[in-house]
Amino acid sequence: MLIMLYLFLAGIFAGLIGSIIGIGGGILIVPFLALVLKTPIHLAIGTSMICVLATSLSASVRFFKKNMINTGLALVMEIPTTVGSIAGSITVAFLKNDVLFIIFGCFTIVSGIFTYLKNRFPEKFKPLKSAKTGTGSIFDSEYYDETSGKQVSYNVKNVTSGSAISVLAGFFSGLLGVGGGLIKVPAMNTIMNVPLKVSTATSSYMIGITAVVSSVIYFFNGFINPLITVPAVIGVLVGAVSGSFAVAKIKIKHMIAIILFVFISIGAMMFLRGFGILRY
Amino acid sequence: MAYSDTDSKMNNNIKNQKRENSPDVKNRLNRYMYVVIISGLAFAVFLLIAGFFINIAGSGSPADYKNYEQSTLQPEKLSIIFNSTSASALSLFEYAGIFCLILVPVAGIICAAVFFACNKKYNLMIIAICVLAILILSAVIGFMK
Repeated sequence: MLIMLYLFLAGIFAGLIGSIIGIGGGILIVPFLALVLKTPIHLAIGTSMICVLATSLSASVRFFKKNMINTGLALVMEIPTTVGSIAGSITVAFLKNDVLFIIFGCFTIVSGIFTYLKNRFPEKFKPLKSAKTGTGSIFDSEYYDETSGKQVSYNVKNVTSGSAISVLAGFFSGLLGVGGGLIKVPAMNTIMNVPLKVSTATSSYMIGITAVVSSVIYFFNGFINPLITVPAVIGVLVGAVSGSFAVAKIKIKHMIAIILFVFISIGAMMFLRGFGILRY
Repeated sequence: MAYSDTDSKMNNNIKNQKRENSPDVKNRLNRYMYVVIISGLAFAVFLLIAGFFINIAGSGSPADYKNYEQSTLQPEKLSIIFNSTSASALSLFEYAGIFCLILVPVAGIICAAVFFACNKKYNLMIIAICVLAILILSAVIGFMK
């Protein structure tokens, strides 16, 4: 019973942090289950996958309401992403626990540094200037930017290159039970000329579809136990909703240093655990 | 006169193309997707919460995960997944909730495919069907592996 409470609280924490800094939350759920609750890492990744799916759906609801998601583009990019995800989900069954710990540790440290840099130096990650409309691509669209109060049009470019990078995002998603938004959003923004807000919204929706692929495979592998998953998912949803309200009141600059510390610490612990230096 | 007819047809085609690519059409799709996803999510959450409380009321405990045995992927072995938890039938609602959660994005893609078909955007409809096919393929791999 106490474990259920821990899972619920961990879910709230992951959902809250995830919605504030724009990540799925899976990157926090896996270390908590694997290191604190000593759950087998394959089971932790399966649980995380369902949490990522729930977070994605709750975010998609908000973004669909605001017409921020480019559904056609999401579906096109989802084809290579799901192929990568299937490859990642299959690969996970052949990897030993220690190897997964090391890969996850590296991914967490890199993600932490990237998230820190993105929030610390936002001017370096500004969206590209949108090109004029009129190229006639079926993915060209527009959205209403609430901050500027204007309708913003954009042309989508380099769909092939963006799709190729999506394979990598899908692979890591399937392998580690994370969303893969950290790869997809910059790729869509910088390579495909999609505005940052649309990239984030479209990526959120895509993460849900990618998570379906991995979730199904994990489920039939027996890596999803509802007794662990359900309290975490409910917690994540509560945290994500709370985070969306809290995000307007929290000063991200102060928080981002803490996030970096948390990510580096988690990454280092997973890394050391993988090499057998840290034992629980 | 013939030139005028051709011109008129071209104008109609351009108008149709503009209508199909117009923000109104895309916004309409987003509205449908919103309804599908929020309905599915609400139903899944209802099942998950119901299952959660049923488990608390029963004897369900996640302590068994330490002895969790990895089951194989054959459909008949699904019973192993149930038997590997102490809750068994008590977890039925939770399993249904998780399945429902997994099915929500699938329902969204079906909705998009139907919408694209109705609006004669056949290229996007084919893409949506391809994504659906890959999802089905993943389920098959899940069973067969």
